[in-house]
Amino acid sequence: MTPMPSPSSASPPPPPTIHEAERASGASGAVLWGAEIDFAAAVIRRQANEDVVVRGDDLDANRARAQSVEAAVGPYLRGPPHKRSAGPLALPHFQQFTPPPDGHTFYETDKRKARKRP
Amino acid sequence: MKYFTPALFARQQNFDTAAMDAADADWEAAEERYEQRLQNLAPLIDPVLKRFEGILLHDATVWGISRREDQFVIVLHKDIPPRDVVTLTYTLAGEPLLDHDALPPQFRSRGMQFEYDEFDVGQESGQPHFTHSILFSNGWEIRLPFREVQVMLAQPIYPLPPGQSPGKARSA
Repeated sequence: MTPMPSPSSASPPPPPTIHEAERASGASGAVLWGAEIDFAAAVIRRQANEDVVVRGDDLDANRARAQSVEAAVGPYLRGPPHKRSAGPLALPHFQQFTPPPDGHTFYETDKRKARKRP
Repeated sequence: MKYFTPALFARQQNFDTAAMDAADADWEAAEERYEQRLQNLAPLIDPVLKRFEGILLHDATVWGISRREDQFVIVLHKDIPPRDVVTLTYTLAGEPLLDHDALPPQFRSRGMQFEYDEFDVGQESGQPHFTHSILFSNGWEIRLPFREVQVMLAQPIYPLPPGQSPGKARSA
């Protein structure tokens, strides 16, 4: 019988990563992730009206990272995913309180993940 | 709004970790209740839902809202691609309700974007009609009783979306 690992021996999830992102065209509402970028590049991308997405398995870490990116751009709000008006695959996000810049800092959750850009 | 209430949206803006977790759980519960309500309204509501299916109006910019007698028109520019212009033309079944103060002042943006919406079925003089409730980012909530709605999609020619030059515009 394999012994259960003790909580202290479980490795923490890897830190979240930030990626270029874009919204899929059509009805899915999916967020497509691209190249990994650093925090500074993410802020520049957001200032240029583009989307970014924070990926990882730790919701709290993803959300906090996404919040910090959007906070570096300006006053922001948080938007939950609305299945019918944003699509079944939409992600929660932070965005500017009053755009511009347009765009979003999306983040993954346990249940909602971005799709790899083709 | 009965499900995605302005209060629920406002609670999303409390950035304490526990508060965000609680607000997210409440949002998911609201989505489940709303989907159940729509199932209960089927098949009556289905033709209306079909008209809006896949259009994804979240964050669409409001270009205009107007009315002539029983025709109520909302023109929006979509944020989610394809970035079409969407014209919604309702044939009203009663007087629209407009609440300019649905969101607390600190959560109202200067621009006007489509946040969330709900459909329902109501009664006017004993006759059933549909309702469309929409919460906008500037704090307005509109509740439209209607008998019929037309949804028209078109490609923008002017004004152009940010970053798009006239040469890139798709020809009609």
